[in-house]
Amino acid sequence: KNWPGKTCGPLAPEEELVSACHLEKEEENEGEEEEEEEEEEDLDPDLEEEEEEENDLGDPTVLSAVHNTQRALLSSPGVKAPGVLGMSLASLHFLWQTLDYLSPIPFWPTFPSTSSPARHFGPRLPSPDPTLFCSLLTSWPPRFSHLTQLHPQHQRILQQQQHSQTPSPPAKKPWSQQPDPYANLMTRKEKDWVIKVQMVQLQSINPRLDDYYYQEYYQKLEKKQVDEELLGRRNQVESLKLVTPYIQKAEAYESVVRIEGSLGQVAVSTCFSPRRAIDAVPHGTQEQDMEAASSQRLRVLYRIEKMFLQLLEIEEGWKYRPPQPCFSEQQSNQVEKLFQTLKTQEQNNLEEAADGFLQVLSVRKGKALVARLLPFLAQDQAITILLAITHHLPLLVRRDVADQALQMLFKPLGKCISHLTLHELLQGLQGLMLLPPGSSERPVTVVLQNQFGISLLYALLSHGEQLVSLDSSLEEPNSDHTAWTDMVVLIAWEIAQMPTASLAEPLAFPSNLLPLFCHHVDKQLVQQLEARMEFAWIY
Amino acid sequence: MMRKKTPTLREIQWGQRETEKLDLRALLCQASFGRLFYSFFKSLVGKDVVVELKNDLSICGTLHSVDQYLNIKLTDISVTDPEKYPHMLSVKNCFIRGSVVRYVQLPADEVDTQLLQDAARKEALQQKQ
Repeated sequence: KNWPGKTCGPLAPEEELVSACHLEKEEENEGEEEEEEEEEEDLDPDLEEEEEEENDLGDPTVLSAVHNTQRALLSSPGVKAPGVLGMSLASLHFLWQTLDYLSPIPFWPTFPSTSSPARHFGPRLPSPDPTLFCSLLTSWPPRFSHLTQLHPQHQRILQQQQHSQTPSPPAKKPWSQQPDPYANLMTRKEKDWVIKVQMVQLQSINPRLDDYYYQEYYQKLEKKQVDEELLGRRNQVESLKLVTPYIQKAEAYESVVRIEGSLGQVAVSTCFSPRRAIDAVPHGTQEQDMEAASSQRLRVLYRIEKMFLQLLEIEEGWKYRPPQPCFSEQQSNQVEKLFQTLKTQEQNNLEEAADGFLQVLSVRKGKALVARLLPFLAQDQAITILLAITHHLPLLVRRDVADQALQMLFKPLGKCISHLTLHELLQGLQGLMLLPPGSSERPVTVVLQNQFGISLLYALLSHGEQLVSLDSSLEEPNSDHTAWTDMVVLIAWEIAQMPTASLAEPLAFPSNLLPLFCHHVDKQLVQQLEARMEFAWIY
Repeated sequence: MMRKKTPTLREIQWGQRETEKLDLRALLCQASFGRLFYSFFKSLVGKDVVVELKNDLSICGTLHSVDQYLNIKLTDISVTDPEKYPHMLSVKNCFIRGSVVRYVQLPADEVDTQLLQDAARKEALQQKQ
């Protein structure tokens, strides 16, 4: 009995199942026939799982893709018979259009009317031109034919890779000289058609959202490349080939275990307990008071996540804003709302509010959040944050020992430093110079030993110097000026006291810093300072 | 008189139970960050990865393509472990079903972890809605 859908050469029964029987069914009675045949060929639906494993022609994905495509097509109105060809022209047109989106050349030029349906659906169309079909993908990047939705930046990178690769493959793997008996069971165009059907499933209305990671990643790369080209430096760094790391097995692991008296070997490693490649299991004991701390931590993390969602909305709104350079009212409201959440304004107690903010900053995620939020904040809001950070700098530095993530705040904070007034600056710095009760060490010493701390401090001093030098035209003994002078002297002294090895290397060394010290401090101290800041002169 | 719902083609062929199974499978590839990982792996196409399977076989190769089920196609493959799998010597390209993958080792500098976090946040939000 001729299987109605025989489109290709000799196929195993399973493969016929995939390529033929979903596509060719036309009427109910034929359906019945096929069910009989199914029983004959022992195609029990329950066997579906195994069939897919053995079936190397048909991806299980293709199986589902065909189903889904059919469902999409059949669900459109006007479908009478459960045959693909009974569908309305509208749904055909839809399919044609979606595939058109995929490829530059129209997929099916014309289709016969529904009244006289062609027997076959797919590659063996009687009327359309098959040559049109096969020219589809030859022009496209041949190696990655079915991923036709590549981002242009991705394409560029892949093409570069192709060009740089050695044209002749290593002789290590010579192809067998014997003819492959399984070759060309499907023609190229048939394979491509099957893949296309699968890809139709992946059409999305909103690729920016559905395909967020991929789109953003390559946009970022593109932007980076453009920026680099603008600056005139093209890094010729080749992307490193992945070197397989040798993973040191933490525990002795026997994959095969012989049990006494048993006949065979028992495999110990299963998919539920595989070889541990990542040590993601948290170690350490949980004490009573630790539980309270961990639940507190969870609460902070939860808060941060909620704020992140708001931040993502703001960033998205900014990225796709209509061509006006400033914020819309809605965006300003969003920013304000997020800022209030960050400041934990609901807390009536000021100290608790500050505490909430500091808790956010004590977590790496929180630092990332603040760093990304700062560019959006209004000037006074940003300054509030800057002053809060400066005031609690020693605490933040101590809490950042593990993460070393404060650095990401440096650049955004640097931008708002330039808006500080001298008075605000002094307020911020004075906190660092106060001797806490019962201690001989000023908070600034901790700051000086931390890279972020010292960088921030230098940036603040540099700005202060700028302000004062601009202001010196007044020539009036200002209380702020005297306070400033005292501050500079004290800081210089602290730096000089610190052993050079403990002094952290700043992220940026402002050029007016040494002149500032020279101006206010005696020669001996300047020499000591110079000795410590020696490495900075390399810049 | 109530009209019986017209069965779909799949339901005729497979029966309702199997249709539900197939629907569920299609749904699963979307659920629990399916879309995110598809998007993520797409960005790694063309890069070298090492895929470790649940049967302990590790295959190093260039990522050729990935689909929504995270089935992986690798080209120019080599078996990374000492060659106790000699039958793989002549194989140049391979297709790996997503469900048999245990780990995929990736080049670290090709991954933007910050972006991955953001994408996960967006996907989680979408799923909640």
